[in-house]
Amino acid sequence: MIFWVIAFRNVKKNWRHSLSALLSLSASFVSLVLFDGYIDDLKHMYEDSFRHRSMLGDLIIEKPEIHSKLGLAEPWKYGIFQDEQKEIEDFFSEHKDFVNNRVRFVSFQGMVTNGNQSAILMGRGFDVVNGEKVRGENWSWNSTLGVPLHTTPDIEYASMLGQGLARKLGCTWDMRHKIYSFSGGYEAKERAFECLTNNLQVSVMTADGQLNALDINVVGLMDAGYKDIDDRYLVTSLETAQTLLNSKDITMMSVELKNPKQRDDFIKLFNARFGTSRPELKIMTWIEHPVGETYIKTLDLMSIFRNFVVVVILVISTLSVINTLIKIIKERSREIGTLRSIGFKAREVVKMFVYETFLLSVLGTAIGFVMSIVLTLALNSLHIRYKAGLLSEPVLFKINFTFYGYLNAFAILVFVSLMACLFSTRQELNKKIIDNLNHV
Amino acid sequence: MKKLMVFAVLFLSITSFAADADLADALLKASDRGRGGLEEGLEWTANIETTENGDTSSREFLIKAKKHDAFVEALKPAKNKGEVYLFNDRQMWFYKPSLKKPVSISARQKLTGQAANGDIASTHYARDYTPTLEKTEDINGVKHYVLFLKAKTKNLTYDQIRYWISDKTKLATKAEFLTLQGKAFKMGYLEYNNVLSVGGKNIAFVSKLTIVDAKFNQNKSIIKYTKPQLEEHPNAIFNINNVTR
Repeated sequence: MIFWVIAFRNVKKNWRHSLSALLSLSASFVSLVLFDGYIDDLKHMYEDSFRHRSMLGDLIIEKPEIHSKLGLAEPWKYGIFQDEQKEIEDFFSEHKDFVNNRVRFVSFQGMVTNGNQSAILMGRGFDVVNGEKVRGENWSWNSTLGVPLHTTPDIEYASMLGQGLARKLGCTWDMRHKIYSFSGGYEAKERAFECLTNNLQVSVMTADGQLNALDINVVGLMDAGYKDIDDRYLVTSLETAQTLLNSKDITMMSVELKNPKQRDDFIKLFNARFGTSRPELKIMTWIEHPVGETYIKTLDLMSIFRNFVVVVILVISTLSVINTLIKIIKERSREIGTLRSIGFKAREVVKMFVYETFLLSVLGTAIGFVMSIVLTLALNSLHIRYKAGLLSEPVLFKINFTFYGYLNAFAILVFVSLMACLFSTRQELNKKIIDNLNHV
Repeated sequence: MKKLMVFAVLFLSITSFAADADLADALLKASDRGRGGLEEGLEWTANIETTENGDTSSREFLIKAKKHDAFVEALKPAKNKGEVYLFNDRQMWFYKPSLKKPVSISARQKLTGQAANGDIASTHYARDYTPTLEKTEDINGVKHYVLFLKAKTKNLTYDQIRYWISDKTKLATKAEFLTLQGKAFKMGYLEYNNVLSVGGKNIAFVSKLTIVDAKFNQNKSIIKYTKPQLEEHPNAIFNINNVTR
């Protein structure tokens, strides 16, 4: 106990030195946790985007051949046919305790025109009602302008356009709309937009090579995520897409589980059921699916970037903490000499400085903790948006509170401080007592 | 007596239905001749003026056709000279001098532009469609048979066509290309001011085909046919392997 009292007294007595160490430690703590919090938010943003916003849930069922050269040339040959869909639905019914929801998707390509402008489209039809459930509270309202599809069940062939495609087709809107809610997602409110006509003609070639066209009604605009996709994106109900393609086949099915932790068990069950009878049908997580490739590449890039920045911060903060502590301990060489001359053993001197350093590092990280929380709240409340690479819309700058990030920063800084303390105390103890006492 | 009456009515219905079907078939075959559906080889020049999304462009092609094949060579404008569209039955190919090999025209490319026009202009209705006589209609005082054409196979671009054939000339004057839901997608209007001598007999040959978007009628293509003549073409010109640099 006496050592804690001495440590506390020394911190107070050498307040200038202590302040310098505290500043150094707290600044290092803030840099580490804020950067970690930012990266963590980006990771969550991507996960949320795929799992909820894109309605991919926990698992995807499809025929992977659809992404091969042959599949790209003749995608309808690699769709999930009606009899296969029925078998999968039966399987879901048998495992109701696993499956929370499923969304069927069908992809198509074609042309869209308003009479004055035409554009190539990349379309997707999905189960509107189930899709809304999988999107969850944050993304239930998935239209940046206008209204989402699930709010317009009475409008025939209701569709939404990517904002990029909408611009090509002469749609305009007020850019000053505040659309984002703080919890993520959009505010559930109809926002006005104007097009030359909301009644567009979509023409496609069916699987049989027949031409088909429908007059769709644009009820809303959306952000498709990536600019390249946004410039061609059109979404509509599964029924509308199937009418266009004159086929009941689907491209893929996503599954949302009641408990995502049961994912591996469900995959085993699925493979046991379809592995032999329908080997072409595969079940996978969206990370294993080609759509997850962007996520993996982005995360890889982010982790390289994160590690680099963390190393830089660590080097700077370690040098700063070591430098401060070495200076503090060196300047107290005479005190060490006095203690040794009145009978203090070397390990007792070390213990005294270790306690003092521990106290300083705990105080420093505590100050850093408070500063980090204040800065996180302040920065998050500013709703800063920034352009991020290939993404079509600016991204909200947000810092997450990450328990493990804070714990790691605390552990790293305490460890670094203690090592610096041990190193410099040892150096001073290696000197003769007289040299300690003569230190100027 | 009642049974006899029913039998007579049924017999008359069946024979009238069969007669209608024969008439529809005959009309379709006759009308195809005016659009190039001949056994002999043919050659003509087509000038296509396309107005799409407010832009107007003009192209000229030399067309060599034989039965179900056609070799279409771009003549104008100068930048497109040397481009070739080859129709092998339902298969469509495109070649231009900067390409090493011809490329197949995908289904999606048939949705707009010259490929869509070519697709419509080259259709052989009697071969590809089953006609049903829907009704007769008077257009400018001339009786027209309105045929409903249903594709015999599923790989035809248009599954259904409504087709107006003049009773007087036995030539088609109007066509409505329908979507799978039966809604008009494109309209075609035909005129026959060319004359072609076949086997010592003069027959009317198409001089103008106007293709209009049913929904956005400001978007249209006008194909003018000039200098039609019978011409023997070697089969080799329709062989895709010969269309290379």
